[in-house]
Amino acid sequence: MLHLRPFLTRCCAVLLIAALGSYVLSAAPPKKPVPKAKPVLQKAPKSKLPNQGPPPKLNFHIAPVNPLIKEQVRQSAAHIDELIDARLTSEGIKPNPESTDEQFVRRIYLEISGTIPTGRETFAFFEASREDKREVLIDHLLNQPGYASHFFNYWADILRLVDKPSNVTYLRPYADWLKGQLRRNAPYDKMVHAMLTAQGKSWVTPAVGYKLRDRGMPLDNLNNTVRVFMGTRIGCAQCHDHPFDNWTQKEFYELAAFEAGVRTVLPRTRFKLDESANAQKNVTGAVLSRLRQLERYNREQVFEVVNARLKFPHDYAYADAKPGEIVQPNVIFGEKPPLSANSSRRTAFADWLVATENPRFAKTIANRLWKRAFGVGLIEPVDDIRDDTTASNPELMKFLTDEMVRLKFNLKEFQRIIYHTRSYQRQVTYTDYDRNKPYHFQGPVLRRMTAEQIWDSLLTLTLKHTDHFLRPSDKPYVTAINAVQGMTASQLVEKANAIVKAEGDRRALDRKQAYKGVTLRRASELPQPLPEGHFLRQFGQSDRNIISAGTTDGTVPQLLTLFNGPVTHMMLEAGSVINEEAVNAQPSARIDVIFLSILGRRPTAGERQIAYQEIRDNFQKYKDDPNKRLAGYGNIIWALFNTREFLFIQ
Amino acid sequence: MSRTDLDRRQLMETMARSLLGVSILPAFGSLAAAQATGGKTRRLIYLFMHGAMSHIDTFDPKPGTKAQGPTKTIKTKIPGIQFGEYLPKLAGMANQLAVIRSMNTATGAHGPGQYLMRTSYKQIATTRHPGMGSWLQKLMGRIHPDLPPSVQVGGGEGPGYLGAKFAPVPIGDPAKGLQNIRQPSYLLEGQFAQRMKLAGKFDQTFRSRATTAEVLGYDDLYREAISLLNSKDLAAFDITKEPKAQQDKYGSSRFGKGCLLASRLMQHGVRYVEVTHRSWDMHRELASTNNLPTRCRDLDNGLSALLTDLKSKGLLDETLVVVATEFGRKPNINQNAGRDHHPAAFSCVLAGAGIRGGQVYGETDKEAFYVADKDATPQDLNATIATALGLSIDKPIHSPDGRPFTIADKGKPIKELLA
Repeated sequence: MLHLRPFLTRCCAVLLIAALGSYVLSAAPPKKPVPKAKPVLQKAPKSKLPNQGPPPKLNFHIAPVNPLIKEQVRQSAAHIDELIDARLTSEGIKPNPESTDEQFVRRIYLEISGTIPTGRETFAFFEASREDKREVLIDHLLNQPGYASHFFNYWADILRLVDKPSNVTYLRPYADWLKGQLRRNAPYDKMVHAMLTAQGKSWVTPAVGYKLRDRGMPLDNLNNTVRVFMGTRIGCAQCHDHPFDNWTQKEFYELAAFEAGVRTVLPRTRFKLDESANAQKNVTGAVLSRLRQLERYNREQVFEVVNARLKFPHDYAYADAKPGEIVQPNVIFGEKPPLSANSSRRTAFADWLVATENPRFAKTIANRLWKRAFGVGLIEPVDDIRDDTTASNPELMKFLTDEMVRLKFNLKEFQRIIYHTRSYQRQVTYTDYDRNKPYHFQGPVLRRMTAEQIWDSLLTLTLKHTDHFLRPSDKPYVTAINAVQGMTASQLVEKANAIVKAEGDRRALDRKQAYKGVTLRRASELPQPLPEGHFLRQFGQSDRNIISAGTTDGTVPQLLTLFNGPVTHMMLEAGSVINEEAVNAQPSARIDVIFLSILGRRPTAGERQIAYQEIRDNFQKYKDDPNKRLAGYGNIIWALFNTREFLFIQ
Repeated sequence: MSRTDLDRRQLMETMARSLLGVSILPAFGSLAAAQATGGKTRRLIYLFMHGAMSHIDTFDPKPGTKAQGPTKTIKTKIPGIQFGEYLPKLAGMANQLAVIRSMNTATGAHGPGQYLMRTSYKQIATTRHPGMGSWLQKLMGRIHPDLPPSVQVGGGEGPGYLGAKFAPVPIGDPAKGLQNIRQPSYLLEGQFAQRMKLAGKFDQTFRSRATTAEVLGYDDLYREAISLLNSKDLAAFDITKEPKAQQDKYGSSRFGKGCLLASRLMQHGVRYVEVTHRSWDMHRELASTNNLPTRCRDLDNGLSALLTDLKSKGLLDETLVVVATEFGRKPNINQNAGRDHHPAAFSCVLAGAGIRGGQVYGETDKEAFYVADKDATPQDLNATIATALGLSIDKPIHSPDGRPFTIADKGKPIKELLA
């Protein structure tokens, strides 16, 4: 009975039935006995890895899927399958075969939780005998913290989340808020509405972060809003009529007029720290620079000047309006919302944008999430829908859009349906498809893991309870930066000191969770974004300047990192999950444990033979050196980690 | 080839074969091809002033006007031409520089502006265009058999539709050089090669099943990674190998170190190095010490040392050096004592291979607001760069979806700048 407690807490009991006894695998015993030796794979006697103790309690709740609507989920999934199969038949395309349990378990963990399953989780799934074990696993994973963590990475890329877009703008509370929304599965329309209408400081009403991210650039922010949430590009029309689509510059300005009153900096007439100059005389260094920023920090607020009006730009060149003329707000689709002289126009805009009548709001999110699961959208690109755009399967696009509305923008239940489809559970397409032609979803496409999936998987191989180690709270920091008017010079100095201290404390906490200088927490629990040289950035995490700029392209430096990087070697340290599992397994099962842990499958007969050979060779070669004779295990772990099979999601 | 070279080659060959099941030779085949097309050794150093460099405070000052703001001006080696006061060294070697003062563009947002400068194309949703490094890699191949053909220090545009094979190698911190090139110290003799061999065997099942371009592309990546690790010229990436005096010349800034690294890489046969210098986005307190003066000093030290070095090594005839930025900054100083975005006019600089130095091309109006003469677009700049490197600007390459693209889109080379 090894480490069953963490296993039990992570995995739902129904899947465990077969696995409870022990972690002994039914591998064919090797012909020659595998050598027994002191259980040491690397010579380090004590673990250098952080986060080895009991896990901290989770301080949040994950909204579960609704168990009562299972039948509805199945029906919707079946209808999607019908629509896809009908299209495949009419196109004369053979659907891909159903995925094997091996392919499915690894894919669904990566898809929902953002990490490979542990060897134990994989094993438990194989051994479970219930007919509906795939469905059970899907629902189980949707109810785990990993769901929100992984979904957060997805949104962070789209929304370009940055903790500090400037040295006077603090937006970590916005990122934390978004994560919270995903954990409690807030309805998507409500979430977007909040982002478009929130007022105040980021640490009081964090949804203002959406506007503060593009502070001082209201027109760019509008472009982003229309692109991200309505899948439509009107950006070109900011300066001139759209060359490919039918948007005119006038229409752009009419839409922008709704948000003309949105401000992202409180004027000094409304917020001022009068004693700041006095206070600055008595301090130096970091404290002084924080003190200088303090007023500006607190002025970074979103508010609306309700009666502000937008004018056409001075170089407006079309005949349909004059430069300097006041722009009358109007929408680009559907009904113009009613406006009165002193009502909030931005609220009217938000109401219109998230309304179910908006033809592109529900469609865009439905298409985005479809692409997230299958690797290709029904409409490509997902954020360039035009009047003449036709989805590759219009009936399916319509059904998914209607489902999104029916589910009241419940993104978790929507994705649950997709994962329940037979189509999603087919094998991936192992060959290239023609990107100029519609893809008909004979199965998901083959994809490399995202940077975040690779990182989080590394963590899974190394540390236990990775979902429990969260970013330390920024409460001390927020308390320190929050200033009010009328503070005395000494109070202000106190504040600045507290800021510097909070920053130092945070760095110290991060160091405590570090291995060779790299903090080991899930990607969603690290600073946003990571600095340029970080593993995550190297493997394609977006720098968050451009919408959805994360990539999965391979590069030479990535390979160098996988070969030689410190982070990739942490799983070989004493105390790492895979190391312990292998050490503690019966010798005859070790190779299977290693394969299950890294690739989510058992070795083939040939691979098992190669692995045994490797272990025996090293044991022979170094038989007098207890530190070296088990080197074969480390070699196998390293080698499996350096396969393409590891990097790709089947 | 010396004995150790042969051993090294052999080891590399063995490793590649066992890992990939393919020979490493094709990588050298592409070297031969590059040489066959005329043995061109021309190369490019592209210095990108990220965040939009103020033209008025650097290469296009307007002394005596309100637009000039807080920055004074100084004389240069070119009679009648002045620079901003924080570029004294460059002013002293202006006879080597060709300054374009009539650059202009339509976009005033950083991302799209940088993209346009680096790729010659507007950012569109349907494809991703390659940056200049990937273009050079595609059209000119490599010079050194093992070192990466293109390197980006501190950012840049990726390979776009050309694919990961043409991706420049990114370097975050030039002082640290290329990361992860040393094997972990605990490895035993021969263990690394053995691990590679095992990985190759374990990967066979998947590789025989998956045949997408993305999966197959890893063949080239593995091949390159192994060649690189075994290269005797890896030290090119280590700027600490330079004498102290040499390091000092470039300055202690990250950009200065990037220039030093660029110089070393050029000497070892890297085709393209981009160094990003950030941030020039000076909306607030432009003149405060750690803003414009510092940024300019870093550029002044880095670029002057770089040009001097390349010249003394006899490489300046083969190396084109470009200073680019996404747009300029407003002639009027804003209420926060900074300058805002200004795409209507900005400056870029060229020097070295293929360029006639000691001249200023184009001019802006009296407040440096609009271009007054010889309008030049980002595409024109890139066409000039390509021509100076001896490349054809009309030759299309096709993206995987069959669309034709050229290195400078519809840009026209500026003949006056070319030697």
